[in-house]
Amino acid sequence: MQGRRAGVVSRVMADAIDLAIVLATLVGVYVAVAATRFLLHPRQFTWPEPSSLNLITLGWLLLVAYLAIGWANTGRTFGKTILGLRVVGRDGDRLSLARALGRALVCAALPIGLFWCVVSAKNASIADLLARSCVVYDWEPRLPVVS
Amino acid sequence: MGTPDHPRGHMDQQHAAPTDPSNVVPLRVAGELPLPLEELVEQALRIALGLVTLSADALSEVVAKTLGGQAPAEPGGAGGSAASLPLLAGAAMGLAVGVARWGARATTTVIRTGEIVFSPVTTSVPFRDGMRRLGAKLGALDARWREERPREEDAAQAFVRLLVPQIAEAVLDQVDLNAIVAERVDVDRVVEGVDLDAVVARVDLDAVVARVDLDRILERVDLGAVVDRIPLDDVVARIDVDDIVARVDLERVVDRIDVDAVAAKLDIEAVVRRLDLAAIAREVVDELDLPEIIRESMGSMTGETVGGIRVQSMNADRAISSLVDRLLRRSQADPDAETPD
Repeated sequence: MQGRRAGVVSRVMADAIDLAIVLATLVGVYVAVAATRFLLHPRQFTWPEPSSLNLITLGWLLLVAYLAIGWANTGRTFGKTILGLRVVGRDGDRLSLARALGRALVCAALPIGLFWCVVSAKNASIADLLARSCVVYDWEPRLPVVS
Repeated sequence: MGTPDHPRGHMDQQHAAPTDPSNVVPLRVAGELPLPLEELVEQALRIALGLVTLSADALSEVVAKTLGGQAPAEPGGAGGSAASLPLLAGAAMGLAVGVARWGARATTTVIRTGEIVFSPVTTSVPFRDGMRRLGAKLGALDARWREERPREEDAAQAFVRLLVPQIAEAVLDQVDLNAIVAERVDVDRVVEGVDLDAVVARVDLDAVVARVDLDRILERVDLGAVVDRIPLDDVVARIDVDDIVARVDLERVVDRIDVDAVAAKLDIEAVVRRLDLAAIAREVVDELDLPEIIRESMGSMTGETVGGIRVQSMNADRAISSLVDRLLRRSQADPDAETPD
């Protein structure tokens, strides 16, 4: 199964892990901001109350950066590492930073596009179609030799 | 002693002549009845003549050996001038014996005649009184002699005790006992007659061993030289060590060891004090690659969990994919559909 295109279940689980990590990171940022405010103004300390727009924007930016860095670096994020998946180009090469960033923007903007892989004959999501990429099973720590 | 071939016969021949009854002069000993006067005189003369004869023979033999010649021949041997001297001597002795016998008879006759002639005198009262007084004086002298006899005998014995060793030493100086033993003693026959078993049985070996100073003997033994002469390599080569070890019941040996007592004798604190525990710990930590060990242990723990998740998700992917393919009436197992372009 090494090198074959992954199905929707594996990809959803990997993305769910990645989303959880981003949310945990967002909570960490909130705690860090609160701690900083406490250290600067202990007497006037109150819990920060950011607006929903700011939170969503911050979370969205964190998600795009997290996905783009992971795909451009090793082809996988932490969630895909656990599920043994890797994002590669159609020729099997690692994505460039620009393609990874573009794929991350599409995924973050249209998460539901992931489910296109259910009906896609090549298990390709909307982001895969736009970025000309694919997600394959790859449990080895190196890049797979695409057959 | 004779030769080993006929020792007994030779001795019998030598002893046969003195045991011939016709040649024996009967000797009277104390306690027997006194001899008649005639026989007493004759026997005294015979003894004197016998002594003279033996002395003459010995003297003539010594003189002959001293002069380097042969001893005089026995009577009845080869004739001639060589035998004339002993013949004359024997004739002189025979004549002397006859004269002595005749003289004894004459003396006896004279004494008895005198007794008859002088019987009136000897039976008279004065003579008897005189004889009685003489007997009393002689009895007193005899009593005095009997009284002093032990002292005289002691003096004589002391003199003999001093004289005999000197005489014996002088005689032994002149005699070569070794030559005599070699010539006349049949050592083999003597040894055959000795019951060595009985001799050994009478030997107190414990006493003999007790008198042996083993320490002095051992001090004189050069153990180094003895060991050097032993071919240890050959000895060791002949020892079957495997066989010896197989005979040892190690379990019994171990059971007899009091491990608690051995442990109690150990000064573990002293051993620990001599150890450089810090250096040992540093060396052990240097040898261990702790990060790698932790990494491997964590990897092995999470590996199975992750592997299980991956397999189950992959099976789910295939199930959904096949379901969708059936719903869309799409052919399955398109290799290109699952591999990158």
